[in-house]
Amino acid sequence: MKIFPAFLLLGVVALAATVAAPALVEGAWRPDLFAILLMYAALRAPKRAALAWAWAVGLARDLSAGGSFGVYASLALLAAFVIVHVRTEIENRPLVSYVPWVAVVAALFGAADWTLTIANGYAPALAAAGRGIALSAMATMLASFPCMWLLNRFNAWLGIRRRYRFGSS
Amino acid sequence: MKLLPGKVNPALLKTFLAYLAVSLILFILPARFLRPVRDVVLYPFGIVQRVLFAVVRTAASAGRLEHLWKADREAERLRGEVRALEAELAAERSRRATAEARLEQVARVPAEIAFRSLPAEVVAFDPAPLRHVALLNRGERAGVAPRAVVLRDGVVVGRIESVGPLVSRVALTGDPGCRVAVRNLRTRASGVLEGAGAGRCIVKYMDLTADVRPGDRFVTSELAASAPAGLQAAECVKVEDIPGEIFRRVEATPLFRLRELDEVVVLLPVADDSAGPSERRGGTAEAGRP
Repeated sequence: MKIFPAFLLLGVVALAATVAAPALVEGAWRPDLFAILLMYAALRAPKRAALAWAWAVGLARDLSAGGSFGVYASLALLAAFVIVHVRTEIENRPLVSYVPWVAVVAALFGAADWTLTIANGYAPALAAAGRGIALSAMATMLASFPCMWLLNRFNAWLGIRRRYRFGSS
Repeated sequence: MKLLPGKVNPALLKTFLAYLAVSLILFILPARFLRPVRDVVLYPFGIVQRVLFAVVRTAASAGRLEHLWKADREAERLRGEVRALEAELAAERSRRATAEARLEQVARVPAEIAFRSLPAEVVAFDPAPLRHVALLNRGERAGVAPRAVVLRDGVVVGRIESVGPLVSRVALTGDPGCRVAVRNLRTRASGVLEGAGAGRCIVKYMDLTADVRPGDRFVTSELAASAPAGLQAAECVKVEDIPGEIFRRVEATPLFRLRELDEVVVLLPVADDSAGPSERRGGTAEAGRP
């Protein structure tokens, strides 16, 4: 794991998620770029490095969300721990097989978002929570294709070690 | 499909637990310890964020410029349309007001009188100070006949003095050329209302024994052949007995205001043979027009 490219990538993702995406995409249709990065690292990095990536991604999300530290870090860590156990099965299947997992991770983050929002006292959010989570997961699935392609292109520089080729049997 | 292997790698599990422990410690640490860390980490991030936000906002608003230009042109076109419609509405209101005024004048004529009503518009006044003459936009072709009575709001305002093909002159009450047989509404004492110039009237031929006093209303009498009886004509303002005279001097004032005289009604006898049948029909048809 290369430290500088990792920090740079996390910074770029954080900026894209907090500045570019809200300005360009309406409301609930906003993809969760942290979930895509987490999924990519959990699938492509060595297992222990994948956990480190997941923790860093979760921490970056904690920082950008402005809430308590450790919430998203724990969630991302848990998701990555599960994914690294099943990723051989995912990689042995066609490329699109990872997409539902992206949706699952995005939904997990979305659920955490809405839970924190409601816990912070904004009760009316409960009515829109289900729709918001579903739309965000769908948008994240759609956005994962170009994002995964980009991460593949810069993988050598980023230092997320390539062990398997997507779609190979 | 075997999703989870039966045995978990102990090294991986240790790593997971270590990161999880750090996460939990971060979670339970008080905010006063973590806030400086957050501020330091986010400071450069905030600068880049502001710059990027400005760039993104500019890029997003650039796409709206075209919409703004189009909206501006559309707004200008719509303003022009609104101005044209307002002008049209003002003209329509004016026409409607004229038509309503004519209808109102016709409606004020008592229904039981055997005269037909011809609406007309006052188009000019005689500038001579002692005369009280107006010009109407209806003439012989519309069926107007000399000596016909002219009304405004059901009040006698004068009589037709002369008639041209398209216009006619009306001597208003108060003009020396206007004479109408009247009767005191209260006492039935009769006389002749005649203009004295400059808008004043006198009621001639009132006996010294006639009961008349200021405030009495004079209405047209049955003796006026070309006007129906009972139409209000003037109000008595002064009664004077001059020694040596056999009649009382009664001064009266017309019941209309000269400045408000715009739409009037000419009363034409139905059996009047001075105008042909075709002309009378034309006059009636024109009466309905604004």
